[in-house]
Amino acid sequence: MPGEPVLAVDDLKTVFLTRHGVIKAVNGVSFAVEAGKTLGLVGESGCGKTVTSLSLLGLIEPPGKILSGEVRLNGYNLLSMSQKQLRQVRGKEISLVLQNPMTSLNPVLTVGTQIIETIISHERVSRAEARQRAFDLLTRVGLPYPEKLLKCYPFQLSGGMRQRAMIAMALALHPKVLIADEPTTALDVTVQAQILTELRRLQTEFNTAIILITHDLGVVAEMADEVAVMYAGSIVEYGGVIEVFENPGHPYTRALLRSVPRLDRKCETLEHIQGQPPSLLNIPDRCAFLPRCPVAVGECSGPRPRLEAVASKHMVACYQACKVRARELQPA
Amino acid sequence: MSLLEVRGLIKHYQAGGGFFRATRERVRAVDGVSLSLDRGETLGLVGESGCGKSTLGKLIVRLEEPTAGKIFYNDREITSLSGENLRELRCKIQIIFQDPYSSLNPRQTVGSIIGEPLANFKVGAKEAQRQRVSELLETVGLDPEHISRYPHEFSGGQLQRINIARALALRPELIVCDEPVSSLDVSIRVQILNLLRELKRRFELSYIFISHDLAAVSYLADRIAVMYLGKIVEVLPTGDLVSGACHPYTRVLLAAVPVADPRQRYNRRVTVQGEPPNPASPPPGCRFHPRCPEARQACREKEPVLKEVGERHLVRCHLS
Ligand SMILES: Nc1ncnc2c1ncn2[C@@H]1O[C@H](COP(=O)(O)OP(=O)(O)OP(=O)(O)O)[C@@H](O)[C@H]1O
Ligand SMILES: Nc1ncnc2c1ncn2[C@@H]1O[C@H](COP(=O)(O)OP(=O)(O)O)[C@@H](O)[C@H]1O
Ligand code: SF4
Ligand code: SF4
Ligand SMILES: [Mg+2]
Ligand SMILES: [Mg+2]
Repeated sequence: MPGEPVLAVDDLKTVFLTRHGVIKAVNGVSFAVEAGKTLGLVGESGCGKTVTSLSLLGLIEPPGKILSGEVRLNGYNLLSMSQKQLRQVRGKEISLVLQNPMTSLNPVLTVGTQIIETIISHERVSRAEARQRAFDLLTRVGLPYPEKLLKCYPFQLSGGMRQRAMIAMALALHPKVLIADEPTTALDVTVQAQILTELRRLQTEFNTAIILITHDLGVVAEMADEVAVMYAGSIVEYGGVIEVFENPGHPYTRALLRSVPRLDRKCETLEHIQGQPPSLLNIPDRCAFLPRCPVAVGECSGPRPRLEAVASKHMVACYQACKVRARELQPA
Repeated sequence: MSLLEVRGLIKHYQAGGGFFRATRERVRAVDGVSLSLDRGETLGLVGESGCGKSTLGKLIVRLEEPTAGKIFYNDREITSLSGENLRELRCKIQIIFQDPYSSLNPRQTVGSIIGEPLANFKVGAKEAQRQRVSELLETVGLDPEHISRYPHEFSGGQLQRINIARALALRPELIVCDEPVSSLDVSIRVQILNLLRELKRRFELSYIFISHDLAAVSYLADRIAVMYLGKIVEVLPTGDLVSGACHPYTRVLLAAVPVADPRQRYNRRVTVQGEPPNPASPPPGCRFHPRCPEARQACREKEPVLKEVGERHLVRCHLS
């Protein structure tokens, strides 16, 4: 069904109760993604991207706690499922690729065993069949010598090969949704380009919905259909990728887009954003970008602005989204 | 006259035995590098992980001993300086590392971290040193009031500013910056890049700026040197990078950089396959040939030399 999201997240709130206070890591986040499409979730380190992805899969452990929200997949709310039900869904319906594959691959099992076990534990297939599928998967993600690789342990592979093996494993059961959390951040641009290309190819083949988490605006521009910009635990801008890149409505998005060095544009001096991203500890209920915002006015110290539409399929959480844009659009 | 000149520099490491690696094999981290840096110039050094960038940086600041080759600073050979002469050189050439967290001692206050080189080199009296530390903090955009704080009280970007202040303490002429912004947040990266730019102008510094991020390098560098498996394969002025780079590896690197413009996403040409081979056993002939989209028979047999193809433009490829 076109236009119908496979995954819809509504008002997700995740906190960590530490002895210093409450860390509001995910502070009321909502988004949706359709089959075969990619949602880019961009934000700087510590803004809550990884906690968001772990929350979707019910992988938050104490002192972490999901306070509220719904994660609807196939009509079910993942957040109200038991751990047992969740184990059935993970990998099969929704799977996760993390930035550091070393932490998600089991170091004492061969790559082959891990992929084969994943398949056997969810599907009624013979070991030989599962092995053949593992072989095919490794080939599909662009790994050379799949036969030899099946017998390798994770530490014997380079970072790029490990990340491909992770992707192969994540796609082994043809999940409807793939969450890729900074899948290429630790890799060289050459290997990143290869892996992004493979991801796109596999997405087309399996009609997978991808949530691509990254801090790299270039990667988003290259991969995403829609983009959600996250700042201090909240989504501050959300819309179609071209709309957001060409008409950014939030001062943070605008500043970020202006501050990234680019090869395709010669630029004498880039503007930078003053200050640093806030700590999420005991964060006050107001616009989190206020202390760094170059266009803040008096009314900005009110309660945290909600996402509001500024154009069709384009939402911004800023008191001045429309005004600022109108001012900038006005000919000098 | 060049400030720094490196001739035929080689650094081979004895590799520890990994699973794939035979023990006692030699990693050819830097394998015959020659380059020069003018006074006041910023030379960018780019290449994939493991190609030898950091090793070259450490050789230049004399933190590593070269296996062979020569280094000249201000026309004077510094390859085997020692004792007092080496100490003197350390005032002139400094290095900033990638990871601001692990390069600072967590038990030292910011004041003593930045003041350490001043104390080591006995620059002025105690009070003058303290004065200088405050001044340095201000120079890098930190509050001089924070002089008695510890590293854990600072963010990554602030720690990198502290690193920069320490590097500036002895009024160096040349700073090797090894991936100084790679571990920082996107919004902080440009702050630090702009700071490095401003400091360069203010103190007439020269930089060797190491990074795997071509866009960041091109923002700061006057010239760019591209490294592959221990060798320089292309050197050219930054302004010519996008339109004038002719080494197939440089082209491949350029094509791999994602552009922050969604309308350009399908313009990407096919990039390179695979990853760089093991530097302990580089391929014969041109080291890039197994991955090169242009490779031909000659490339497998004969190693190309670095030759001049234009003004300030050197290329190591049979096709150039
Ligand atoms: N002390 C050492 N002992 C053995 N091998 C080393 C040592 N230092 C570096 N190497 C090897 O030398 C080669 C070049 O390393 P180097 O750190 O210079 O690369 P680099 O270009 O800085 O990479 P990166 O982008 O990952 O920082 C690599 O194969 C590395 O494993
Ligand atoms: N296990 C944990 N305990 C306490 N705080 C945590 C934990 N995991 C994450 N956080 C905090 O939650 C916030 C968001 O973290 P994270 O989602 O990892 O950021 P990102 O992935 O965007 O870099 C940060 O302030 C981080 O310190
Ligand atoms: S609400 Fe005000 S402070 Fe916040 S981003 Fe908008 S203009 Fe800036
Ligand atoms: S010498 Fe041959 S293999 Fe090497 S870069 Fe040039 S064309 Fe490619
Ligand atoms: Mg993360
Ligand atoms: Mg390095």
